[in-house]
Amino acid sequence: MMLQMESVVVRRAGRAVLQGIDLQLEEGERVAVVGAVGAGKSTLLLAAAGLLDHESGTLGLLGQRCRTEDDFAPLRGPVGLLFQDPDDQLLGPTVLEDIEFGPLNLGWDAARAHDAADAALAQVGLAQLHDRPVHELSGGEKRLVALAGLLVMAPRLLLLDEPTVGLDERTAAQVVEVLRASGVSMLIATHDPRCVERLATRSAVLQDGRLQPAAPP
Amino acid sequence: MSHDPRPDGRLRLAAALAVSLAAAATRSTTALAVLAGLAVLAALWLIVSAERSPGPLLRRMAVVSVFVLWIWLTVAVDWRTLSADPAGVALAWQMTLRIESIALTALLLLGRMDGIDLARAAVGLGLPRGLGSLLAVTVRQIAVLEETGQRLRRAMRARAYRPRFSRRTLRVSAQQVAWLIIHASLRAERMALGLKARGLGAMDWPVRPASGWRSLPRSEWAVLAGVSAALAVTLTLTSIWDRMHR
Amino acid sequence: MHLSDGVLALPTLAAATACAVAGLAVGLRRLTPQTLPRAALFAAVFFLIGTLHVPVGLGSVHLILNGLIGLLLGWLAFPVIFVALVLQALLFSFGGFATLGANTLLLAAPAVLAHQVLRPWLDRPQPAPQRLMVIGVLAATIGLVGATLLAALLLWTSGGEALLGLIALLALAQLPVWAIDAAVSASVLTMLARALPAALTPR
Repeated sequence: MMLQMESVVVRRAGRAVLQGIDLQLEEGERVAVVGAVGAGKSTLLLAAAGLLDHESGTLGLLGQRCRTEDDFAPLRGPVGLLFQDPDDQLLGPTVLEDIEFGPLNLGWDAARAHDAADAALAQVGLAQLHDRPVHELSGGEKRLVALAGLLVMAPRLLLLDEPTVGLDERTAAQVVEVLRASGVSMLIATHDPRCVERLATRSAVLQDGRLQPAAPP
Repeated sequence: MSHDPRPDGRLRLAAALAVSLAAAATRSTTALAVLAGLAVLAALWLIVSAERSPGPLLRRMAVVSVFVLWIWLTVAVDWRTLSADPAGVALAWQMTLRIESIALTALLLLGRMDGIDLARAAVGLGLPRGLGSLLAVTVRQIAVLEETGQRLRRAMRARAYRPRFSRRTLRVSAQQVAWLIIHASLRAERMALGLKARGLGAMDWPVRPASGWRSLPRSEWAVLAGVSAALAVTLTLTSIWDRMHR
Repeated sequence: MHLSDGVLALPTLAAATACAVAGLAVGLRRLTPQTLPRAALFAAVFFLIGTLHVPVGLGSVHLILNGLIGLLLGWLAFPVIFVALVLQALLFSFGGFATLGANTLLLAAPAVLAHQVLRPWLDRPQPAPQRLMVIGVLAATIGLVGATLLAALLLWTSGGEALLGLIALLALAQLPVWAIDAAVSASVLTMLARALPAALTPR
């Protein structure tokens, strides 16, 4: 079981945004969570990654029960989170240095991190950008670089917050293709029907703080 | 034009500055003791009348008091003989009274103002508008930086960063300041463009020209008058007292 | 490094304030609608890093980075540091209002000196990372040593031998600050050169 949530409740600013989430994601699945703006999709992903505390319920990642930061921290390489705004995620001065950030945190040596970052950049089709300052990238390029920063750590589960929002048709297709080709299990928060149609193996609707299963696409 | 209910704090600022300068100027321990005593009484009165909560006042005064402790340890103690130095004790006592009376008075008079209020008050007292605008825009930038810092820390956690006592942590900690500057610089540029698009320049940021002195409320004049009177009476009477007891 | 209200004698306070006002006047001439957003950014950085405390023995010291700020801003360092100190005094009771002039002088004057000494090195085309690191360390050194010496001078003229112990303590407490300031300054310069070179050039 890649992700398991049982009766998870999450509050933000005193309000119960998630009011008892039940979700199970098996290996190989790509589950899309759709819902209106403000439904709590981002909150769901942040809680799954352990970046927001859940008030009650149980949460399991990669078969391990997770409650505290000490439980989540060792899983942050195998579990990758793509933020909705790539500017929130890109830290390094240049593209390659940004992608190397995660592997270096995992204790990889500089040479291994460098080679892996090169490979991840090629995987998303942006090998030519490796010395480019991050802030000079277009929105689509930033999204792909952020994705490379997750893929470099060979994740087993990806949590994706609106991976195609704000992208043109071509770049969105590129992102979807990279994700499909990766073979990684994923939970995708999206309101983009293209993303659901081309990527998801099943979908669920987030409404009033709860998840309702939807019919397979 | 919308009505802006923010109080004009320039008279309070003037009062706080007057106390600071008077306390800095006087060499009379008696005068400083009286000033400190009056500040404490004012604080107690405000707490009892529920206009202030003691917690924040005490926390802020604790910050000031740490420095006072260092003064006692360095000025009042003769470390060669490990004994109290009488002249040093007298000086440390005087400095303590001076520091605490100035800090407490400033807290009581200005503690409820934020950076914008202070910018307006200072411009009202003659601070150049450029400095007032810089003060006001800096307050906004602090909020942007704090928010940027929170996002950066969250992103770092999401990418498996965990601070430990290690070279990696030291390196990343040093880099965080740079990341903050870079991210905030880019946001500052976007903010400046946003202001331009709305027909505003950076110097138009909300430090409005001071209103007339006559429009200031009587309560504010009363505060200034009260503080000034207390200062004048204290300095005069303690000066007489000191001369009588020399 | 803040001198509290009540530590300095009035003549010293007056002289230091007069010098600070002169520095502010020069700095204000460089404060334009174009430079204000950047100046405010660095004032905010200076304010926030001043609230980051590094535990040292019984107490703690805070980062300063006045050398780096001076290197990047030149005479603008005067109004920038002044504004940050005003907010620190208001919100955290660091330093005080009467000593604003003295605290501004002791932090901003070395900042401007760092700019005058090191700017020609920084302005050379495509400086190597190693050079940037050395410039960063030197900026931190000039900033902190200058501030410590000025603070010592102000305290000495206020209290003479009686304040020698306080002067010595202040100087000693700057050692860990210097180490971290130097590391951060070097890191900031090398990263800005790679990621945002425009931030290194004055406008």
